[in-house]
Amino acid sequence: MNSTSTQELILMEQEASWWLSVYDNMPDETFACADVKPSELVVQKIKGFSKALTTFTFLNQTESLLIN
Amino acid sequence: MYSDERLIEEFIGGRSVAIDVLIDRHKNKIFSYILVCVKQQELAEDIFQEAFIRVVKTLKQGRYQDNGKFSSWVMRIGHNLIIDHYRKQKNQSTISNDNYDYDLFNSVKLADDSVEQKIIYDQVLQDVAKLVKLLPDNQREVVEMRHYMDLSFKEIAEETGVSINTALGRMRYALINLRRLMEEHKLSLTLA
Repeated sequence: MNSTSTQELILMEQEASWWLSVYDNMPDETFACADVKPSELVVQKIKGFSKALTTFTFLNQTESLLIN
Repeated sequence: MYSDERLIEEFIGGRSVAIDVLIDRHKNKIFSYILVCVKQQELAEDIFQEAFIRVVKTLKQGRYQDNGKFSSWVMRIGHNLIIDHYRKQKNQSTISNDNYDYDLFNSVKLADDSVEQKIIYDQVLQDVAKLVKLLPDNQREVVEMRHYMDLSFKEIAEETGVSINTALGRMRYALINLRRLMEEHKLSLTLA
C-alpha cells in the first residue's frame, strides 16, 4: 500500500494552517491586480448558483431549492 | 463602496448582486491561498467552488454569524476543505496497471503539471516573493525548497543536513516572520 504517511499528513496540515495565518494577515487590496485568479467559468458558476438557490421553511425546517 | 458587512446584509435581504461584488472582491486572495496549498489549478478551483457554495448556503439559510472578516471566514472554509482532501489522499491505495489491455494512467488528469500550470503556480509565489527575500537565510531556503522546488520536508532535511523537525520548525518560523514583516514594513505586493 502506497499512501501518504501519517507524519506527512500532519506536516501538510500544519503547513496549510501556517499559510492560512500568513494570507489572513495580508491586506485584501494586495490581490486586487494579482495574476493568479480562478477561471471565469468557475466564478460564473458560483454566481449562477447563488441566484438559483432559494431557501424556505417548512415544518420548522429550513430547506434549500435550486430554481433555474 | 459598500463594506463586506453591508454586502452580506444586502445579499441576505434578497439582493443577489451583492454576492457578486463579494466574490469579485475576494476571489483572488482566497484562490491564491488554496492554490499555494494544493499546488494544482483544477483541484484549487474545485475547492474554491465548494467553499463558496457553502458560503452561499450558509448566508441564504440565515446561519451566518458576523465574527470577523468575510475573507477570513471563507478562507477558513477553504482550509477545512483542503484538510479533507489531504486526509482522503492519505487513505487512497494504489492499483496495478499490469492486468489491463490499455494504459490506465494515460490520462490528462494523472499527467505531470503542464508548463502553464507551473507558470501559474510560480506566479502565486511571486506575490509573496518580496517578503520571502527578507527572511533569514535558513528560513528562506526552506520556503524556496518547499514551494519552488516542490521538495518534501524529508527531502529538505536531507538536503540541508538537519532533522525533519528542524526543517519543519524553520518553515513555521518563516511563516510567522512573513506575517511580522508585512506588519512592520507595510509592504504592498500588488504586481505592477
